[in-house]
Amino acid sequence: MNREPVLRLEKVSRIYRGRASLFGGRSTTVKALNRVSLSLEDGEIFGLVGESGSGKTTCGRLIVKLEEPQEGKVFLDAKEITDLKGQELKAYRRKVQMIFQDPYQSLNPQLSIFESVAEPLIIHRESAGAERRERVLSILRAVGLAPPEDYIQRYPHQLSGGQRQRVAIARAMVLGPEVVVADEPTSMLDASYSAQIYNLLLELRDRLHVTILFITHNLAAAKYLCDRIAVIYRGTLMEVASAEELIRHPKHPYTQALIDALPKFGHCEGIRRYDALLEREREGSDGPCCPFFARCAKARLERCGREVPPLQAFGSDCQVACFCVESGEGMETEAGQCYFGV
Amino acid sequence: MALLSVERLSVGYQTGKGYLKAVENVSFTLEEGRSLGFVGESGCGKTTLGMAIMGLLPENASITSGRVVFAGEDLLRKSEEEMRGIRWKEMAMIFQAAMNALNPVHRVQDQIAEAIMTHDPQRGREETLHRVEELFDLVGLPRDRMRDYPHQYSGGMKQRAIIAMALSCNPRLIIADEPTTALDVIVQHRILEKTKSLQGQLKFGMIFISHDISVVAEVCDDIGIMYAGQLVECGPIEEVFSAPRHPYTAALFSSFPSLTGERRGLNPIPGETPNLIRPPSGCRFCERCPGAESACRLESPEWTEITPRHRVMCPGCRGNSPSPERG
Amino acid sequence: MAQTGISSRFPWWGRFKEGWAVFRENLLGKIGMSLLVLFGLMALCSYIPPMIDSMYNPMAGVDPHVTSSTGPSLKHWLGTDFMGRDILSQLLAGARVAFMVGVTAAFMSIFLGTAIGMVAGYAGRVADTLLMRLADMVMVMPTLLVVIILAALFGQLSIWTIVLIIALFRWPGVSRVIRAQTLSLKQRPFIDAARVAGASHLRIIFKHIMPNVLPLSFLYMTFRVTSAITIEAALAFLGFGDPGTVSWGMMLQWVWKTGHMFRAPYWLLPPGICISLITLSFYMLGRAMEEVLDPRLRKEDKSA
Repeated sequence: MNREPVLRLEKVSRIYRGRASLFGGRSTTVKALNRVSLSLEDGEIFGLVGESGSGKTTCGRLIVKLEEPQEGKVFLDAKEITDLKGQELKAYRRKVQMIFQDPYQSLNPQLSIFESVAEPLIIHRESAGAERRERVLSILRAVGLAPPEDYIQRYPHQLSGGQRQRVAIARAMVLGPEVVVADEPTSMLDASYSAQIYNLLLELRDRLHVTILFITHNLAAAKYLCDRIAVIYRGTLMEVASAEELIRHPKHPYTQALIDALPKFGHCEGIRRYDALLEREREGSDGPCCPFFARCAKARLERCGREVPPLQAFGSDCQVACFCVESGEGMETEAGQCYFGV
Repeated sequence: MALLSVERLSVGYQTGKGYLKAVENVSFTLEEGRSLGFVGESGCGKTTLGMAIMGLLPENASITSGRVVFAGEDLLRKSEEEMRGIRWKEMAMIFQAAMNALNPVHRVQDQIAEAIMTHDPQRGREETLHRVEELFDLVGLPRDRMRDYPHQYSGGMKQRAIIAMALSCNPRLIIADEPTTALDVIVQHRILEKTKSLQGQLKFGMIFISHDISVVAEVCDDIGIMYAGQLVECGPIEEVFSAPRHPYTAALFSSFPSLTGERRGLNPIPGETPNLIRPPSGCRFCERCPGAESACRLESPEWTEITPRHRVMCPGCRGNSPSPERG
Repeated sequence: MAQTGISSRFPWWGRFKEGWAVFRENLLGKIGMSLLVLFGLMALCSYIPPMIDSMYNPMAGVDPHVTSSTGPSLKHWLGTDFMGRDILSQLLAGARVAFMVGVTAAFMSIFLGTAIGMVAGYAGRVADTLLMRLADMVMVMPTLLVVIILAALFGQLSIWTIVLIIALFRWPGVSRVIRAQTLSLKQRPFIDAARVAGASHLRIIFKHIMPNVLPLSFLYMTFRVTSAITIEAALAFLGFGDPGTVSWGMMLQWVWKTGHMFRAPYWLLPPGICISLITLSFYMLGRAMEEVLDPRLRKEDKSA
């Protein structure tokens, strides 16, 4: 598939600068994202997996332009969109939308469901009157809130968390965007509602042909939903691979640590423990080093503590940012079957 | 004799909209040194159950029936005074988001020391601090961080401090309510591993409440599935997982995506949880149950024993074959 | 659970009903409300006496049989003032003026305060700093004193000028609160969602922030009413009021100026009591509303 990726980030950095304190402290700088490059293929569901503080949410916010990068460029359909303003920015927003994490807060409590879902249509002056109503009804139907007439007059506090999230999804999809960023859409929902949302996203991707960036801390959910997964740690991508490949043959020690950490149970003798984490953190070095160096049990090379490993292609489908993997330092991996399957 | 035996416990809340039956007729036993995990979605009553056992229910809650027998005595018959003597010494609780329970203006070691000295006034300060050191070692916190304040700790460290506090008086039972929900995956894993090893070491009984089945699977010996205030299935983890009998249990399992499972294998449960102010008669799951029969709606369901330790509350399952394979 | 009937067409009706249920339980609210209804009736009835007989006109009515202040009688239920004008009709007219002044001044200052508070909170940074420093400066100025100085400089002020000045000096208090509320709303994801959908800043302020901030504005309005009425009464009493308008403060001024303070309790007491009671009742109303708004503001969070 040599088509141009629908969304591309090129060495994007997001830096927060704290102000210098009055008493002479130096201003603090936090690099939430450090020269991150990734690309989303048309129609794929791409997972961005990381723990809190990894920068995954910041990445999503940069894509929908709630925040701006300090370095790097973002391309949509091969057109640079890093510095858009005014009408062009508005046109961009039609094509790129977001589903937020907290269904209890992402809907305005004063607006009815109809008003919330119709808002993007109103803002972009699309359709009016009966046609607008029809579009709202049809998208509500598509997200599984049927019959939609029952829902349009209700208010968010009258719906359950799962239903509110569906409304949020409807609002994101009503304009028919090209890319939707889903920022941990299920982390505040119960298991059964989460499952409904996953299936809904899969269905919508097929029906409406959107590309979805699925941000999560839950590797199992990412495996279920995504075609490709990127693992991010402290603002840097550690590994990018197809979902299958990442889970069965994780190459980066951090990915291995994540898989180790997923609760397993039962007849899991086949599952390997990677033991990629140190019990106690190593003393950090002052200069540049691999972001994972302080906790990595597999850092065998001198380089690990001295240089930042770049994200490089490894094999046909993978990218890994690890000196040890590059040099082929015995990273054979195998994942087995586990009863409960997690 | 079982460490804890709960018999037909029912708890409800008086709310503005009516009387909410949060826990209905729950019975189970917990042996010494074993851990029992309660799993269910929000509103299923698992937190209320934990609080009822500890005697920490809010003002508007009332226990309408049942007994909570701990070490041979019915806790529900005890006065608040007596309960205060038992809490922390015999039974300890780790609340949800417990790390926020740490007082930000006191050092961590002082807070744990206070917990110890309140229940054991004989101990001198030096002896107590020595015990705090032991506890720190036990939960895997570095001793040189004892004099820090809570805000200097990470989330995982705060949680370990809370566990240390819970263990400080050597309780026989610990009730942990979503102790790792706010933590990252790797930290959570570490804490769960540590909890399980501590339990093996100190042999306390544990009740572990969570919405996340996989977490319970990792830590507990037995599991109880709760739905809408009722305990619908209960038994050793291996048995329940390999042969879930209650339709809700099977459906719940299949709601969790598996690392190695098929795409589109998730079969989520359609519908919504019932209103607990006017719950449906009979089995509360029948409205969403694929195998519901007319009997389910009418009869108040009773326990059916699958094996001596594995029981299920499902009128439709009486004597029937196991519920369909998940996913 | 779907709302039916009126509530689905006018959703704020449903929430009003809920709020009303809470309000009803509150003793302060009930007392405040009843008193206000009483004063409201008084204000409405103020049109009646002059219609009955022109001698009941509060400003110009003259009873040919009376030339000095007299006590209550059948013809004049509360007696007459020094010019023979009926006190009761003055009292009723005063109620009308109190409501007018109070509500208008309060409304204007809330309008100003809310607008400035929202802009400051939303825009942040420079605009925020500038506006809040302005608010600080205005807030420390003693309203009464300024009005007195202005009156001394420019002669008698009309009632509407007074209303305007009260409004111009009383907005900072509200704006601080609204600004704080706006700041906290700005963090909520639904504002982000609106921005991602492409909403302009104006749209976000009017469609998303304002509706969430208005209940607080209304709450503060009740408090502003009390201060507006008190200021007007004080001004009138001190002699800086509008001489063409009969207000309770004006009545007090007449009592004092004509030396009847200790001689005519039937003239002195009614306006004094009315001023106290009306401010008290608005205050009680405000306190009761606080209770209504608070749990509902909290109810916006997770349910079930």
